[in-house]
Amino acid sequence: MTDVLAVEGLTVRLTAHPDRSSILDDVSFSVAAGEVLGIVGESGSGKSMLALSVMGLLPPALTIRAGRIAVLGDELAGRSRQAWRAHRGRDMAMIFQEPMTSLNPVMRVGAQITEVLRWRGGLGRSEAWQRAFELLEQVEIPSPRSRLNAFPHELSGGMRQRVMIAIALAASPKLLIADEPSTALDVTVQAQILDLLRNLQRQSGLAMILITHDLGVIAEIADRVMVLYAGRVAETAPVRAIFNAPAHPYTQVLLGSIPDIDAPRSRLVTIPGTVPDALHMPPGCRFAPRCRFRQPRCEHAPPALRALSTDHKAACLYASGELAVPA
Amino acid sequence: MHNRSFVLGVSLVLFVALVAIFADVLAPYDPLRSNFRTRFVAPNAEHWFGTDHFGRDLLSRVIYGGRVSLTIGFFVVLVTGIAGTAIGAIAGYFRRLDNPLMRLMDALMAFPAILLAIVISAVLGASIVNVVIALSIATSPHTARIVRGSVLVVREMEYVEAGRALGASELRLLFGHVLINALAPLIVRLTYVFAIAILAEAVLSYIGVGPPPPTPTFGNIIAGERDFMETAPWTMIFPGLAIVISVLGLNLLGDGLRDVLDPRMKL
Amino acid sequence: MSETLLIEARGVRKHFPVRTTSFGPAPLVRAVDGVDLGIRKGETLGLVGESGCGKSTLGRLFLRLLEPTSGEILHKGIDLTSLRRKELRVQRRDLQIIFQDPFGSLNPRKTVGAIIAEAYAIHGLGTRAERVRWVAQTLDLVSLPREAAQRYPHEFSGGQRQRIGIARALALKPEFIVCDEAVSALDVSVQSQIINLMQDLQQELGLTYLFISHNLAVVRHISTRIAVMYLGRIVELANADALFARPVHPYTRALLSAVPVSHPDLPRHRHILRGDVPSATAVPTGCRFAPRCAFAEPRCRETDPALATLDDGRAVACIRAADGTLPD
Repeated sequence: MTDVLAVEGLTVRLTAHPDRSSILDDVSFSVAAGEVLGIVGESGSGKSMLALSVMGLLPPALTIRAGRIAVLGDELAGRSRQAWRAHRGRDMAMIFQEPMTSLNPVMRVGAQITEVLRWRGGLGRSEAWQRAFELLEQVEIPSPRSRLNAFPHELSGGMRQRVMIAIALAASPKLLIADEPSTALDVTVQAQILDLLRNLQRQSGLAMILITHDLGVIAEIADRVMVLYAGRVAETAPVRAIFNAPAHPYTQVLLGSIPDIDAPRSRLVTIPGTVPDALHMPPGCRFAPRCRFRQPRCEHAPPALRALSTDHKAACLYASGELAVPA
Repeated sequence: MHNRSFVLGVSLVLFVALVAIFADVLAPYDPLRSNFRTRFVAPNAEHWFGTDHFGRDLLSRVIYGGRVSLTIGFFVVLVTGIAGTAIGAIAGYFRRLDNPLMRLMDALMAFPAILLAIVISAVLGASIVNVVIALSIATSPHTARIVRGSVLVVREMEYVEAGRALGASELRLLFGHVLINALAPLIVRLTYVFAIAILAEAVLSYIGVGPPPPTPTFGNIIAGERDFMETAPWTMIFPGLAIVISVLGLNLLGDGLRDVLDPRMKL
Repeated sequence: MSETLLIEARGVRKHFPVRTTSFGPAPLVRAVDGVDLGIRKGETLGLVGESGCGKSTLGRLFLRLLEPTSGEILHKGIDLTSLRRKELRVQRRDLQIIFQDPFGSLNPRKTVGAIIAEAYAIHGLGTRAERVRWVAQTLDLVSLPREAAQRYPHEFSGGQRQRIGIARALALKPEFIVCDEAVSALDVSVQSQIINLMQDLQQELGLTYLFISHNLAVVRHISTRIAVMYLGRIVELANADALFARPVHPYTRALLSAVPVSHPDLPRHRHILRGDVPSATAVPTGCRFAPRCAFAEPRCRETDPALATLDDGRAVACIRAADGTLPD
């Protein structure tokens, strides 16, 4: 099964200051058709920049300095804007966190969907409207006929997110990137949207990348998980392995610091300090200053992503057993 | 500070201000002293800017004119600043007074500012004080609107609510929290008001309702030499240049300040 | 923890008129529409609900940061709504608030020390030297270095700013603190620090919290009792464990079932709620949840249920729950 997306060694730096610490450093992962990859990270992890890199939408202040990004086998890193545009909207689509700012407020919803259909899909006018109607049905918007003429501000947050999903699906992409799609929504609406995404994904065999800081969402919908910390991959594993046997100290603490709604109450785990900012990245392992297992070796060089078992990798000397930790 | 326009603006304004302040030292001649033997002398080594139709040294007149024009500008800024801030702050902070106050401001703004200034000046009589009054009235409404806008935004910030939760009185909140954070647009506006005042004074003088001669101002020098534009163009060019430099400097300063004071850039 | 009520809301309503350009009576946003809620000394009362339910508004009403349209707020027997400004200011020393936004809740042009010391200045407490000392002690309480007092908010991270906000709330040694989404804007790893801090402070200082949040896992972790709000009313009030073990009100059930599971292997029982929350300007007649309720009967549209206490001590606003006809 060819990967819909294969990223290898992706490194992104500030365009004006390439000597400073990287925003994304040596990130590698892949997503196959029909699979949901959950990318977990807090602020400063670079997760949003990762999504933008894959889509070819990095702001001019950032550039890809190294690595490969292959969409459906087509290598895109370092190529022209035309090359990216050929894939964007057609093979890969993205939905964002804030549907209000991602939708054009002065354009009716139907027009925003048909715009994609006619421009990307090459459909004629009436075909496009018919298809737009079908898409709204597919994303389970009630009374889709009348909603086609609505403006974004006339719809609720959940509805707007559904519209965004409809626009993203309009060109029948193979890869859908969802950047915190439900974070700004209420819990009940979030449940609806996640269900919708899961169903759509199963029906069409879509490959999906779901970026979130919410481990609950990961547990619900992801098949595999990649944990990002300060621009580097900390751990990747199937979802069960991440929850049952987290290997990287950061993943462990992340899991421990979230109140578990199903378990008896216990004091939350905390990590001292904060995520390092781009100007003050520690040498070596970027998590070392906050890690209780750190040793001098950790500060020399960034630990490589090593396989701990099939499909479970961690970038940590402690996790891969290379450290002698005193009991 | 790598903001070039800001630096240029500051330099020009400082230059003009210093010249005005040290007028007594810098001016080579008495600006009011006429000398009929040296009328309409073109710029030369003795009279760098030449002389006017009364034989008065133009350089000295322009230097002293700067003092008067800048003084007018300064007081207009002071009065507009106080009045505009007071009105805008009250209108923005106390909802019930918002409508009456702002409708009054709208009424004043319905008149073109220059026209308003001309009318007031003509009614009150031509003098420096009256020019200051007229220009202040003309520029206060827009200033009040700007302050009101900032106040409306800052008023909703949570730190204001936090102060209220601590027990602060509304006045304390207004002065201690809201106004401090609403000042940036006001400062920028006031630099533009200064520039407007200088230009407007020139217009008023040209029409004849500005400060009366012989006291020189940028404007009334030009006004006085109007008839001699063709024969002695330098009599209008130099004061005109002085206006250009002052206004340009203030505009650049205003633009630069706007960028410097933008809190987003600080973080 | 005693059963005495520290602060109580009785029949509190807050209606906002919507400013429209057309003439005629303005539609009312019924943000809080008849709430009776008593908070016991020493407890943490969690207040949950989705956007628009009125929980933030209710929190502010408790502190009279908003004027109630009707109803009373009783603090140790004194009705806050009847007090004049000076008397209210005295009461405010006991009642404080922590906000959600660590960026917007601190005045960017004041030093941290000034922000905290303002509390003392407002109430005319202490000499300058004493205030400096008190500020330092308050910073100690929230584990911030004493030098922080000379710095400005923008020099700190989100988590540290939230600590500053907590320090400000503690300055006057209050008994009751409203936490309005106090950890919602923080990263997960920082959130746990702040939650632990708040729990420690509660123990040390004997604080009572009203903890408003949309994050059910956090609320469950920190609360003694939990009140669930929907469209301006409390629909269920119960002990935290009891609520999660057995939610009774249909909205509570839907809400709890919507929370993402905490582990991929756990089964999901979704009560998917159809549709959207009605606008607070057009509250349905009868039971306001009836249009979306899976268990609604015709009589639900006729009666507006009051919060009734059930046998197990919890309170539910549902006529079917009250007469035992609500299925599990």
